[in-house]
Amino acid sequence: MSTFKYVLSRIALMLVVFVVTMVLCFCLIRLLPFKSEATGLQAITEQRRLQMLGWADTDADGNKITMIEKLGKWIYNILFRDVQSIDPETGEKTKIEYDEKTGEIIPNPDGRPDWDWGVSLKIDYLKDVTEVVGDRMTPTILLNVYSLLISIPIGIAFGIFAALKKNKWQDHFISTAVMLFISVPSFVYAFLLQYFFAFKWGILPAQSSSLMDAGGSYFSWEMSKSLILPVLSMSFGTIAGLTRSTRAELTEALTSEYMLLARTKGLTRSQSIMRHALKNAMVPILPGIISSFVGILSGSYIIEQIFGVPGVGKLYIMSINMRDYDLFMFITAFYGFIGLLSNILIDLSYGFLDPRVKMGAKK
Amino acid sequence: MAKKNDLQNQHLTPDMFVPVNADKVLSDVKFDTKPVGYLMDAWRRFKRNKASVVAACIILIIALFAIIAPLVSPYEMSEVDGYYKHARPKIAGMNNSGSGFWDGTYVKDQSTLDYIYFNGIAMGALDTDFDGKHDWNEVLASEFNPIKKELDDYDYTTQVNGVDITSHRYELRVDSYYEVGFRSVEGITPEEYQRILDWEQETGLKVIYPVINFNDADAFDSTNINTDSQDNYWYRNKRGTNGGTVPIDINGNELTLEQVMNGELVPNYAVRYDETPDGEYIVDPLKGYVLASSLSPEEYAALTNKRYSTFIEDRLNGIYAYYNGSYVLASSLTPDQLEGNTKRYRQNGVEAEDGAYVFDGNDYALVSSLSEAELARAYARYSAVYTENSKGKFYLVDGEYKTGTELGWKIMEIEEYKAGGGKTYSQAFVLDYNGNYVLDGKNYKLESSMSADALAKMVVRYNIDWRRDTQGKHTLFEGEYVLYDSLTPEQQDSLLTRYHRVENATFIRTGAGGKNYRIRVLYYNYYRYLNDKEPVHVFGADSQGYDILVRLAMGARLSLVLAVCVAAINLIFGSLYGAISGYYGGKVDMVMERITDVLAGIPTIVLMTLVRIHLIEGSVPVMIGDTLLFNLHLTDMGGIIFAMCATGWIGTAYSVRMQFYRFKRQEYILAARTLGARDGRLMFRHIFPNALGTLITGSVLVIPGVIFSETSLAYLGVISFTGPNITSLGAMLSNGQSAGISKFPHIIFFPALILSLLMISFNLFGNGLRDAFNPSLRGSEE
Repeated sequence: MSTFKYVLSRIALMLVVFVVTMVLCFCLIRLLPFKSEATGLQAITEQRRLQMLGWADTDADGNKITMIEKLGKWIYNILFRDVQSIDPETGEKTKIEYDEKTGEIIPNPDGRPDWDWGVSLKIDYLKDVTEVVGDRMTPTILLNVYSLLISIPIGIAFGIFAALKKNKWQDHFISTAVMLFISVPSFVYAFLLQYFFAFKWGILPAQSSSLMDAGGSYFSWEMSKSLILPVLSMSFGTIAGLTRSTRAELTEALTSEYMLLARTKGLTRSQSIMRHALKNAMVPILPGIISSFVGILSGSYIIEQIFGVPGVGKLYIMSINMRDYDLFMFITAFYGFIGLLSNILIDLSYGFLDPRVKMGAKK
Repeated sequence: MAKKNDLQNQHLTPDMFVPVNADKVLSDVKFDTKPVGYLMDAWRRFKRNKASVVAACIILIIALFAIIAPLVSPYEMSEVDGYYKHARPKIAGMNNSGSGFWDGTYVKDQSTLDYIYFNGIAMGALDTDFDGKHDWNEVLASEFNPIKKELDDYDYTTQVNGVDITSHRYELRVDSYYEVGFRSVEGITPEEYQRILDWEQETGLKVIYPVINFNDADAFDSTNINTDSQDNYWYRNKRGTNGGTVPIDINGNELTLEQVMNGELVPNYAVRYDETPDGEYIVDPLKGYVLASSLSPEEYAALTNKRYSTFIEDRLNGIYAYYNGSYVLASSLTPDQLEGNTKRYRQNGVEAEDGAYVFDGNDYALVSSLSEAELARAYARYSAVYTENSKGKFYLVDGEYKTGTELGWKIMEIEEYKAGGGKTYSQAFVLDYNGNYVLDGKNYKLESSMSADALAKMVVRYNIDWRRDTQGKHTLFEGEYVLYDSLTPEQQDSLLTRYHRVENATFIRTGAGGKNYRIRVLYYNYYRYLNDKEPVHVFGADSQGYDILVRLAMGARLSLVLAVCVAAINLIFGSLYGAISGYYGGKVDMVMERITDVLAGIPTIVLMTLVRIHLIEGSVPVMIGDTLLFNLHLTDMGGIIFAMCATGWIGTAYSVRMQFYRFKRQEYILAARTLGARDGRLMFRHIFPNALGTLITGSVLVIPGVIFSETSLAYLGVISFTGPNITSLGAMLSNGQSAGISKFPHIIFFPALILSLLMISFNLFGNGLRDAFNPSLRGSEE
């Protein structure tokens, strides 16, 4: 089987899994009852709005809407409905408009199907879910990118150092630390960091600053300073993991026979390590790093909660707790898709990095 | 392979081999050593791994802690004490050491006023004769002094509006248990009160202290005092010019720290008007109970906080007037003698030769010299209920002052009643032709028009024991007002003892009919009295006042049981699933794999929320056709286990499947199959044991995973094991986080410590097991 065919079949399978998972998630989230605080006249308008959005359990005549009908409507909306008005000149999408009196959506067909994932009703009233998620994407991506920029070099450096000093006290020290940092949940050292740096010594802010406080920019000094603690809390685990795998791979490479050959050829130890051992050791590690770059889009619920970062992780939890159905489905679909895609990418990257590996080959 | 080739290359011939011991039969000789089994072998290897053994020991210790601690601890899981919420960790032996190590103390940076406040608690506790005088060194050394050590004191300068303001500050080690100091306890029955007194006698520890007079605004300024700690301000105080609450002397001057050290704090205990057949007694902090009529107006004013006190009223004997240096019964004076007095001292309307005077806030002013508005203000301010001027007495009825004549009243008597705390209410009962009027707080209302409840509430509010009407003095006797004179002397005496205990001033009647007491207690000793133990929380108390140690043990127990259950269920189901998928392979495997793929895509949080809403909080009817089988309903624990297992087995299934792939084509399986072994036997007798090592390791590593997800989900509020009788590590962490880690780090520290220890130990232990079962994998992931 050629690589091309393999990739095609993987993608086909991925799509099947993706669709089934989405259907399941849809049914499960819709099984959670919608929380309504509206009373009286408000409740009637809300009920109408729910019916328009396809969230209601009964239609206008009081007939029950089955789960399959709801699902059908949701999928139809994504693929075929065209409710967003698109400015013909600028090409910008605007908010969906509702008739104030009837609560009905004012359709503005432009003849093209949009990927309409629906609107948020609870978190960001009547805002397109893609926008809601987009707004909170920047802090999450920032956190992840900073964290990766810190952890990858440090993790690999520690790993190399430990492997070179194998079974010396430096190695034992690093291995113990790695053990600790891998086992202890990240929120525990988030607490520790927050307690010491923010409260006890008062060096860094305990909570991430809002965009307003940070002068309207995510790259201002205020903002970066307030992100130090969450970035650190996220990095420890990654650093420990990378150190561990780098050390393991490099130790294996160092004891292999080609290293002996390299030394016999007359290379110095550092030359042989740099040119042979390190390159080979990196092969199994790089896919992991690639996948963590794919993961920069996803948020860490707990870290975001502890440090009050307005990121996607927090949004996800909120969307479930507040029953913002469409928002939840969009986030699930988005990350589900990225997750499955990254699996394929990782598998493929093995093949690119190491010519000996041929993906999908039979035994 | 290599060795085989070597042998072939050497061209060996059979004649090169000679049988060893050809003449001996060896089959009967026993092995010198016993055969080593698979598990034994693994155990030997495991023993050599020091870190894993230590980890296993730690797990064991935590498990033992979870089992034993609740049995041994003096605290119950559901035991809660709101006053000791946030209490710091303390070991009984470390009491009062001041070392700062595990002794319930924490470091506080405090102002001089706080320094006085804390020492004031000790002073109040020592003050068993209620005079506020003590030796300062005794105060510092008192057990009840929350300040266990003065670490530092320094001058601190800040700039306010460009001016340097220097204040003296103290760095103190404060005990979080003694810090509570005094508290009010409501609803104490007289029997309970007596029991406390008996207990005091028995143990020699003082519990009940005099009640504070909160009602006197000149001696107690509540602006900067929150209701929690108000019982600690037993001395006269006012709001300081720079904020805070400053102790003051009898004349309202602020006291300095030196003066406080000299014992110049003035007690502000509620003055009780205790009456005996001799007359009214009031509490003098220096002399104890003194007869009110034996005092001078100045002394009387100082003790009762009433500024103008020409007349004092004794509910037994009548009105006393101050005459020639002492209080004399007003009825014994001639009108002239009384007249002179009246003109000189009268609080509201003063009548002199030249006309009526009114106190306008600064001084007495001639009524005629004031404008209507000023007059109204003066009256409104000082005489809410009735005012008196030269034109007569005015009564506030429906928001307007009117004279009795205007109202058509026949005014009989107006009495002042003292509510608990000594504040005087111009409580009036006025009689007119319609009947008796009472004051319900603002306006006069016909007594007969009020419901019994409303009347009772009023009586409670103003604490009226006595009242007078046309027939004479009435008193509350067995729930009804009866003429005092109609009672027998014994009944009169019983009233006196019942309502006016002269020997102490330590309770205030509350509740309907004044049946219960409000008392002020030294909470540390009251706790000893209530619980028969000292308040000592080894790990501190959480933000509700639960003991962290016991709850931590119970939480760890729950988390461990949960984790073990989940791991066991995952192991069984995952093994079965993985075994079938791996053994049969092909299309079966393909379909089963896709099922796990899909399941793995379901977010745990959604599943948890679903289970919580539909199965834990509600129930789902299970139907076959139209017949209802049962309503599926799960407990908290069952629901969480269900939700965690629903997708948790996938990992186990995956690794079992891999093992089956590895072994199913090996030759020994082929051999067994040739011998006629069926699928089931092949799977579970031949292949599965080979996967056992990996599986056990995997299951052990599932445990920290489950604990971790429980804590994260509880932390996010998706699941919650919170209640008096249930808690988990996650719930405790979340509690600690919401209590604020900056102020109370101990609440989160201990759960986090146990959690981290568990996670580290289980990981080390699991790795040790893996190395023991699979020596080939050793070191690959260290």
